[in-house]
Amino acid sequence: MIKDITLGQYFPGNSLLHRLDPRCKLILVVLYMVFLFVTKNPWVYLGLGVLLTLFVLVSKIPVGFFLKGLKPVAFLIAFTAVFNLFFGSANAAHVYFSWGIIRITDAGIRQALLMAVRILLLVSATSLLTFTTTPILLTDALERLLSPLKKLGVPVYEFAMMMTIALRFIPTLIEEVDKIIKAQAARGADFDSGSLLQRAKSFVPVLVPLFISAFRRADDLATAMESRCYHGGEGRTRLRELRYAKRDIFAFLLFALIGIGLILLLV
Amino acid sequence: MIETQNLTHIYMQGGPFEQVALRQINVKIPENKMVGIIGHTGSGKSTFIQHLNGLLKPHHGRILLDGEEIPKSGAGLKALRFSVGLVFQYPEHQLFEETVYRDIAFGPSNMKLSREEVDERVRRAAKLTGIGEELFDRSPFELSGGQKRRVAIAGILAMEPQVLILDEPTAGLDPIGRDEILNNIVAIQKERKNTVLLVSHSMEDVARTCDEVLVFNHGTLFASGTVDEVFARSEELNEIGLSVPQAAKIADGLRKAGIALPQNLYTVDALCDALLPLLSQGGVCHD
Repeated sequence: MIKDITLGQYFPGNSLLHRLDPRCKLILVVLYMVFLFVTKNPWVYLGLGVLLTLFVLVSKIPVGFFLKGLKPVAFLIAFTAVFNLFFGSANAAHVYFSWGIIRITDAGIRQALLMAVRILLLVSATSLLTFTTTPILLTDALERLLSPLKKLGVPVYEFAMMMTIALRFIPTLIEEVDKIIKAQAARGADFDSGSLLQRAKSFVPVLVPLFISAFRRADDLATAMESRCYHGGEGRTRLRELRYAKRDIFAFLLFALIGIGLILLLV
Repeated sequence: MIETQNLTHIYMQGGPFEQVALRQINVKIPENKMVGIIGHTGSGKSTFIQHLNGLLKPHHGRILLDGEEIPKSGAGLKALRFSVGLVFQYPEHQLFEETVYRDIAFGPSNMKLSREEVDERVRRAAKLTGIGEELFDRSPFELSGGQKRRVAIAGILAMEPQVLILDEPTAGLDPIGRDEILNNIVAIQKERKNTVLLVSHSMEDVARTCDEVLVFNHGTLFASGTVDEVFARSEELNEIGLSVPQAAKIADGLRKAGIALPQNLYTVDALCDALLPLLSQGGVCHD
């Protein structure tokens, strides 16, 4: 059921990728996204695809498990591809098919493929990040990387804390939804038949208890934090400080080389 | 009658967190009895009961209700949920309607009964669970914890299921609320003469209310039988970290101290009945 969603889940392990500094991984993923969007050259995409495949192999995450995690975005990819196929026809050289405003052209096909590959690689890269990095490390990294913004008065620490809490409660809420759906199903609730409106309505018995429980949890958490005299950022120390290691420098170098290569290609 | 054959269930099959929740469960649950289900957290009790109304599907094995395999989908599955009523742990967390009446009516309304029939059932269920009709127009969220839970249980009872399953119906209630709910359940079973499955952590509650007991341990069925048969195996139960009722412990201790007591003393009442005559004779235990 809903519990089977693996997108964004952490996959425990001790591979090279797991041990990379989370800040390094975060920067690399952002760089990877930049690489994906600066060019339309199919060879570059092939290269980036191979690179990602290598990373997946290094991470020692079973390929089947990894692909299963991509399933939820399959619809998005298909939708974008079809949309581009029909409407992405600016500068078309050949028109293969035309009906009303729908035209299938060589440019459209190219655009559709391009977008599909882009989204696929994008989602794969980000899910590789979350598969190999615990949410706590990820928010630590984000906080450290954004810490220069503190000087501008941006409450970076509070944002990181909010993100930690949000990430922490995703599995809890998924479990909760699962439980409520089951409890209402046990009372004969029907979630998958009837018109769209009826189906939307059928989720009221799930949403009301879910909101009530989310507010109750938020309240409890606030009380618990308060009673332990929680206060944010300033002067707080950490059990584990993030430190860059040699492997991080190598990873940065690798990506710097790819970046230089791309710039040379574009010029 | 409910029967399971080689029932096996595996969580997260194929993933890194794969876990066998139930292993080869073979059990026959007799009709018109109060059956207790005991075991540690994670022993498979909750997984087991969710199979009985088709919320979870077995990975191997079958579940038979009155000799027929339970339906896996479609209208049959829905009908199954009405004939096997399952009250989850903390059922008050499932309340959602604006009034108590409408929340209790949610189950029977899904059965597509006539309005009169739904109304009758709501009133019967409310009466069985001790909810006064003056509460019908109140919001369920304004009620006390014990009242909320009774409303939630009434919501299942109103479907008038042939088998009623309750997952720790007394968890988190104060002693008075706990006794009230338990007494309600016993009274309901007596009145409706249906099969009731009671998942519980409390050996006292099981000893006091149930006819038969199933003991789960690490996803397997460790023991099953009448209350007497199961609690007579107190040493084995202790070995897997489950205790016997406190009254039974006291009786065991007294027997070891050389006082002749009959077997089958599992409830405080039974123990009292056995000890009081000895006391009035005087001089049984004079040191």
